[in-house]
Amino acid sequence: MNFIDLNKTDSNRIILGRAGKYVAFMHNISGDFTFEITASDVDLDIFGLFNGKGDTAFKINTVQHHKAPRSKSNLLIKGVFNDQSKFNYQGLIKIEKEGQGTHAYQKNQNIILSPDVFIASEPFLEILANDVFCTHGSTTGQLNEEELYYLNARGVEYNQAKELLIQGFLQEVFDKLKDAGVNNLYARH
Amino acid sequence: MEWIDCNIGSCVTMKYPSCYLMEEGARGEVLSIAFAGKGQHQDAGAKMFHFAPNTSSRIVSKSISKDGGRTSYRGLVMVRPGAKNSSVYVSCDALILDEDSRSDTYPYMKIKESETNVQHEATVEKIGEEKLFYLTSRGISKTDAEGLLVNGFIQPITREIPLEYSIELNRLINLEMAGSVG
Repeated sequence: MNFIDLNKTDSNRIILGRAGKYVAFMHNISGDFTFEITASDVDLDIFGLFNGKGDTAFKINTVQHHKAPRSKSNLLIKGVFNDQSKFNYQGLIKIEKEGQGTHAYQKNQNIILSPDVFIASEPFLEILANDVFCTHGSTTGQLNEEELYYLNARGVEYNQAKELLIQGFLQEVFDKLKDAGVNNLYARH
Repeated sequence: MEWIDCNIGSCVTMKYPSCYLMEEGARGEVLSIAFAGKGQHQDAGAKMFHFAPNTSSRIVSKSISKDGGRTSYRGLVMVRPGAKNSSVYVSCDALILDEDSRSDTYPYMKIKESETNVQHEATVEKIGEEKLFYLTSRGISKTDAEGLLVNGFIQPITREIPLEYSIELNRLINLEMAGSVG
């Protein structure tokens, strides 16, 4: 497994030219990242965590560019936004004609905690091959009222319940990172 | 308010029916089908603007590209501040029938209100080989089988429109599939 820490890379163009498992991770940064997949049997996971506070603004652009057949890429970006924070996500999956047999996924989920938050989510697809499987999804919303109510009813205080739900929401990313073999993230972020 | 939008003919189509949900409780819905054959580019989609509380919108788009045709879904969902409790659902599915064709999805979502729920999903795939094989092995010609599968793919939309139209639409798609309409 090759780990790519996007917070520490200078280049915004990442070329994956050899088969293998890759994991990329970003946390609270802005920038453009292009993942160019030029070999078969590349298995790429891209994870992102964002936490907006005060008047922070994040702008993220990702491109999953498949130029070779039978590779896989999977993007998951989760964000929690407070105060007047702004989040602008634009993602593109591009599969060239040569990219037959590609599996590409893209998911962006955001939780809004304050009425002054602005979120723009633009997940794009451009597909020129026909033998592919490609999906993307984007959800933006508040914490689930019913889940909050349930926790309240069990005697968990409102703020603590909120915290628990947010933790659970973000946990998915940590779990997946762990599954992929990345363990030392807790200490760093 | 409900739009049903079927884009079949012509060379380049760019069409984005829009709903402005200005009053409380308003609901907008767009069902859109696009079919792009040889030399065609169907750039279709929908726009939804939520200005008032308790508004909801739904966009369902199904697109099919064949013989080098290109379909694009281009949509905008905007939730203005104050449009509390609004909900948005966008779903676009694309079917690519051969390797010369192309399909794009460009959904824009701009959300300025926290008490809202926005969902978007899209899938792109080709016709299932197994399904095609099953049908052809039962003696149905490949073109007819493709037509059947395509009609099945858009069925979630066709079953919501009046029967006469949906029969008409099924026939049109079949004709397009057989390549006799340009």
